[in-house]
Amino acid sequence: MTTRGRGPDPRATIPRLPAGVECERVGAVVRLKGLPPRRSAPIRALAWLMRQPARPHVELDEVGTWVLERWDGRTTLHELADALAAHLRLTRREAETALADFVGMLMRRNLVELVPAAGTGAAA
Amino acid sequence: MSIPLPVPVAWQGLTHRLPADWEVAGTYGDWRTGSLLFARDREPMLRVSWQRTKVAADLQRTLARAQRRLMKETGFAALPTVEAVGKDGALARCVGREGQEMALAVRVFATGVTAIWRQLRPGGPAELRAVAAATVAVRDDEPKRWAIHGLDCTLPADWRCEGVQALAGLSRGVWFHTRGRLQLTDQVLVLRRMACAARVVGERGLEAWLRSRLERRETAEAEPLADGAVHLTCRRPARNWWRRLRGGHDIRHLHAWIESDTDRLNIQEWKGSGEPLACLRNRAPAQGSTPPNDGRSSG
Repeated sequence: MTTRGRGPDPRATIPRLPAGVECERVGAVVRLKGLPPRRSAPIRALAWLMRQPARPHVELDEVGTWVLERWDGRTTLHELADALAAHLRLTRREAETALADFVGMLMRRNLVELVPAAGTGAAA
Repeated sequence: MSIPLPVPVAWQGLTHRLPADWEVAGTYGDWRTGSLLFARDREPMLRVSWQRTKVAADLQRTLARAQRRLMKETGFAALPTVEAVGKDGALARCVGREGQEMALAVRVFATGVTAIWRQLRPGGPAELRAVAAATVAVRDDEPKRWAIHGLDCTLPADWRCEGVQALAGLSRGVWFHTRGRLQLTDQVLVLRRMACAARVVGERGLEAWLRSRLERRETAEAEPLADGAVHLTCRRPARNWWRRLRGGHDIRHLHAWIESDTDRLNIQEWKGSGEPLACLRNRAPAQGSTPPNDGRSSG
């Protein structure tokens, strides 16, 4: 029987805002403004015509803000999932899935980077 | 030493009991034949397959066939000993070159169901034996419990689950009621269970929130139930033009309640002809219904 090799656990990574990402608090929620994406000249022109924002920005809701407030540079995704599950009374799996969706959404907009926790080989 | 099995999972007429940290990772098939995949911390542990036949299967032949399949897929060698599992089952084991074991069990229930449990990772047979021995099967004409992904209800016979969906914060299941020789569908039941009930409902209250979800041109009469539950009888002009011409209406019944201990909102929606289902609120906890708070680490 063959066993599939298991890579580094992404839950052992630490999320943090990349350099250049602005974080603005508006009342109870947080707005994140990312770095301008690299675009070719034709795409920049098209984006200007389509009135696309120059920088990706996201307004987080109450739960997203709560998660972001716990990005202290030491808390891993695994610990965040535990805290989220306790805060919202979710099951562990629900918390992990919701957190993965949230972090994935931010990663697609280059608004978060994952760094390996000390002592692990997890890739960012 | 007995293994505690606190988590009930009831699916397609079979009620299983699982260890505390197990969960249902996949559902396949239907009433006649299908399988469930159980996992622990994202690692597949056990698969249970079932088949309903008019003629009872032969236990030993089924066990031998399943064991041969396991050997073919894993390259393990069969151990000659076969252990009994209850009065209607047997357990067999296979061993690999490095001494690791995998087990499988078969039970032929008196209700006409044949179930096969198979380990998906090497380990001792104790958990498989306990899970297999604790499973109960009901007959086709008996009421059945459906308990999976936090949904938990007991439905009369002739209700069949057409699908269940488990998302983060939402579990949803659809059941059809059939009647007659042709098994025509005449009633539909949809159960939804949402997390963060207090945030979802807000300060409006459950009835006001339900009313805000009504369809266009739909009116509702409310009936408060015990413990804060709500029953809405919703009526709107029929979708079918012929029935609309004759003054017909589409009626659906909504029951909603909040589990305050787990902050879950349950919505039961029934449509169809005949007597509507009563509120299916079930007090017993099912798999996925309560968040674990033991703080264990899975990393």
